[in-house]
Amino acid sequence: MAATTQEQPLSKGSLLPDSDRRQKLRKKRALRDGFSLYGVGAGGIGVIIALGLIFVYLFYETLPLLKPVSVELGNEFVVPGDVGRAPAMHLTLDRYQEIGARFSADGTITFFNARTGAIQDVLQIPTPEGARVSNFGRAESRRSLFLYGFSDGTVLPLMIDYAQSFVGDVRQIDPRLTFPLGEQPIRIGDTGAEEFSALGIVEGRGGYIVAAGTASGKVSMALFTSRTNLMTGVVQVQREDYSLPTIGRPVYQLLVPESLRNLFVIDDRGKLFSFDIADRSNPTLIEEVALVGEGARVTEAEFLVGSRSLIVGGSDGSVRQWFLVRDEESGISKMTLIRSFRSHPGAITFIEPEYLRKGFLTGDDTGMVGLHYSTASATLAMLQVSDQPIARLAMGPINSLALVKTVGSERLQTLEIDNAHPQTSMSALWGRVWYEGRDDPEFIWQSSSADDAFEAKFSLVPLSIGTLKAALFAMLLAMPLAILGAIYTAYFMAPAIRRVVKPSIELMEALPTVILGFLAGIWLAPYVENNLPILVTGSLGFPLMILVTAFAWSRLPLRIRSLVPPGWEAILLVPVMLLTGWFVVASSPWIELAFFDGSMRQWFTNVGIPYDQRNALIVGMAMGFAVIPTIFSIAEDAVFSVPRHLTQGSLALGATPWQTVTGVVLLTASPGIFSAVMIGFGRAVGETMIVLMASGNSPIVNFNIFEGMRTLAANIAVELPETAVGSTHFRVLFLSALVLLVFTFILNTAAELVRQRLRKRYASL
Amino acid sequence: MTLKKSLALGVVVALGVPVSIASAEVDPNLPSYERVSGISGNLSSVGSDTLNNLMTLWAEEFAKFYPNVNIQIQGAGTSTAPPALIEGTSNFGPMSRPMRDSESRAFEEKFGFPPTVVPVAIDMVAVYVNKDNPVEALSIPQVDAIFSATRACGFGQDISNWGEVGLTGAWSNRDITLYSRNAVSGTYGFFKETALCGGDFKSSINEQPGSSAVVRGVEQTVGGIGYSGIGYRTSGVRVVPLSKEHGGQAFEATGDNAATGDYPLARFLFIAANQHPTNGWNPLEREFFRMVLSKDGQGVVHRDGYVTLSAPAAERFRTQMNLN
Repeated sequence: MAATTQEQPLSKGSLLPDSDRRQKLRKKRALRDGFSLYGVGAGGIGVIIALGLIFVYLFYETLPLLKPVSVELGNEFVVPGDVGRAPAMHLTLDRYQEIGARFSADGTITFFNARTGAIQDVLQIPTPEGARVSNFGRAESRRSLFLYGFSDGTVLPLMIDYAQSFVGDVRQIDPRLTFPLGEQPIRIGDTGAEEFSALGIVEGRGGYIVAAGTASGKVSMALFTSRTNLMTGVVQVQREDYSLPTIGRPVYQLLVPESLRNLFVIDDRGKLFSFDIADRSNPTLIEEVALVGEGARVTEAEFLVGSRSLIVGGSDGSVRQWFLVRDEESGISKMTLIRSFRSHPGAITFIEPEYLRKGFLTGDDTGMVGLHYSTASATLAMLQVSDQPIARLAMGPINSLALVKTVGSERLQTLEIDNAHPQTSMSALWGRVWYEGRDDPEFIWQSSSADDAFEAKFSLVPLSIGTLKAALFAMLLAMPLAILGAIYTAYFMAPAIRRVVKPSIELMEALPTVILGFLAGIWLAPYVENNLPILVTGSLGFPLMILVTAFAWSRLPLRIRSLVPPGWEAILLVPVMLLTGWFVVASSPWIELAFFDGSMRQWFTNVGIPYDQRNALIVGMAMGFAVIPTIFSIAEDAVFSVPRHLTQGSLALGATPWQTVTGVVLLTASPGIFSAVMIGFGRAVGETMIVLMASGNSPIVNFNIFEGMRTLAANIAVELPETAVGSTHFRVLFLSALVLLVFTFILNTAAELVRQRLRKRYASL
Repeated sequence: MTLKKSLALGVVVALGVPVSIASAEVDPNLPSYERVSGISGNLSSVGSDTLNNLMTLWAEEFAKFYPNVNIQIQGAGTSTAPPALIEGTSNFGPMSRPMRDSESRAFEEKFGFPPTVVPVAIDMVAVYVNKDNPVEALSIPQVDAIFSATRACGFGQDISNWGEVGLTGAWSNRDITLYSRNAVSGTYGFFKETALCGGDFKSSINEQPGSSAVVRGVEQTVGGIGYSGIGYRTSGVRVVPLSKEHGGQAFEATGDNAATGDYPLARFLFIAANQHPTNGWNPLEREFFRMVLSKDGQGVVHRDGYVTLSAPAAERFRTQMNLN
């Protein structure tokens, strides 16, 4: 029966409105038309612009990572009143890069304005009667801790404290000397009045080590262990003295890392002697290492901040990084060459590490200064500063100002450095990096610590792999369930049930993901761990029981089968499913007892399968649950909107319903089903809360279903609130957001292309 | 070959007298808080998750004195405290570790003067195992070998199952599941610095968004181990006594052991704030700190399971921080 308009008898002439009204209506229509044309158009274009702006913003935030490093010559000055003074032993800058300090060999420390050279203060260190300064040693720049050796064989550790005071809003810095181990010079070892040839000092975990070496190869050290009472603030210092086996060569340099477990001695040929001093009463020589190649010798070696890796400069101009790598077999840590940096044209004369990062400056005897960064394995800049050999370099704590002193000149040259984000080279973000203290080059994401000396590990590989892993396992669960469900619902199910089923599945989408994640992490994860057999029995039992039930149903006499109207058969499966579910759960402990010695979890460990409670399987289940409604809803619409004439034609030609589904319906609906899958995948890639709550956020690089992952989205959610705005970490997080966006962009574009092709192909049907 | 002489020299850092004070209870010598007039307004706090409960309780205590004061508290993790202080979105930044140099520098860049960081209580980071776990004690090198990939504290080999710390029977081949706070957390940073000797966590750690999530994870995993502030102890977990050296004497996580420094993972909890060097405190913030460092404030610390400051310590901090 066609719907027709009931024709009213014309009572008052034509129903057509009069011309005035027509005019008005026409205007109205034109207005509406215009509104929808421009309004809808503006909306659409606005969406595209908004998307573009997100891209632009992310680019804008990550762009500084790509900014090239610049090192420029700044002004040059002579520290007045400094001319003719004893030669400089060392140079430093204070934490605001405002005050420079020049340590002279006569025991004075001159503080001057770091940009102009105007003298601010001169301090004299307490020198013992009749003695003169004979040697000098320093700890890491950030400790501001120095060691003076005197000609009478005593040493004096001292610190420079830049005390701040405020007059109004103006900061005044007043440098002072402090003496962490007392104002009296101390005697190290039993060398008498013999002068030391090298001094070393370190403030490490639980105390200080002061070490001194002589020209005869003798090395002595004193350990000052400190312990602080939290309540009273009293520091107890205890001194113990030790001497090391002689190395038989003049000691050229002494280096003690902050761990206070090793001691490195470099002799006059440039050989490194590595001592294990963890057992302090019995220091042992582990190995002798030649740090530079044949025909060259070590001219300078210095720790990077954190004193784990040693930067070694050779007479051949080579710059190399070494650190201790543990041999897993023997448990002994050996010095290992990690990487080389671009060589200098002349012998390295000085190495100055950055304060709080793993970068360093090098100077050579041709007047060239190089800026390198260890984690990125990169030489960032090389600059000819002078034609004289470089004597000393000082790096500012903000990494933007350096002082250069050349041999035979009283002048100081400043370098203005712009080097905000050296950590993030392409190879550091995407390649394997050999981080300090690790046994091998690895992909690691570990971005922060309580200590600034920490080497930030920004590999995007674990996060990208984690994102794919989570999405993959979610799709593995969601795809078959959602698509098969959609086909059944749209094509076979009785309309009455469909009207209930479809909205209820779509309602699942309204479930907040944070609740799904919470349930998965708090309830599902431990439950699955304690009932592992249900995974096996469940994944086999449910499909099997469905098939068995279906087969049994088909064998029943027609009389019984016709009791259930077509499209209602699915209801019959409900009790079967419930029963199977009960059986699967109830049988789990028995299966564990019978086959797995009472615990399948333990069995996993025994056969060597790593199992983590919050693993990809749990995330896959929770996220699959979240993705199912998306895929189901779109796929169901696609199948349902296959034109009736196609299916009816197929059926009329004698095809069975099954043949019609596989031959006609699926092909016609394939573009829709495909885009359903891709939208589901996109959702799984970007999903944050479920992964955050249900996984352990462990940044591991593998596809083991029983281990966790850390995804890009979850990582951003966890770490963005903590980072300092504008820091490298902050920008890397934005970069990872960009990676995520590019991920989904590529995915969706590819999906759209495939969908268009499919649609064209089956449009003729 | 080894010449050994041992002398102890006490260097008194501040004006404290070297007396050890057991602080399992609230020190009766702490002054009671006296209400002052004219205090009202809003306060907000963004920072440590460990201090979250404590901040809430302090806010309630403060509200008893000043019903007109509103305090909002957010506790995602210590690392969120400095950015919020710098951006001016909070008055207080509760922190479970000292401020990093880079953080305090960022603050200085914005305001021109350093932040004021007030110690407010003592916490012990406890190493939790499941309540059924029979392990008696662990040493810091062992804890390091369990949690870290670098073993910077010097333990010989990696520890990945409970048999490797000497457990027998069913435990001899039981996996260790690691629960950790995430990197926002000050506890994470403190643990990394102190218990891992500055090394790196294993990649396989389960990073949890909060202290209670870590404890819950350990509750639910028989072979689990995790760390959090002592205030989050529950009946489902057990706190393992720790020793500094392998083979050394292990100490329980008690207030006395924390105060003397015998328990290796004791630390201060701090609240960072913005005190102008010449204009001084904003009265609202000053009164809050005075309340926290009084008998009333420290009573809250004790009730919440943390270790209170002794009267001389609180006095020392009040003087140092210009709170008297």
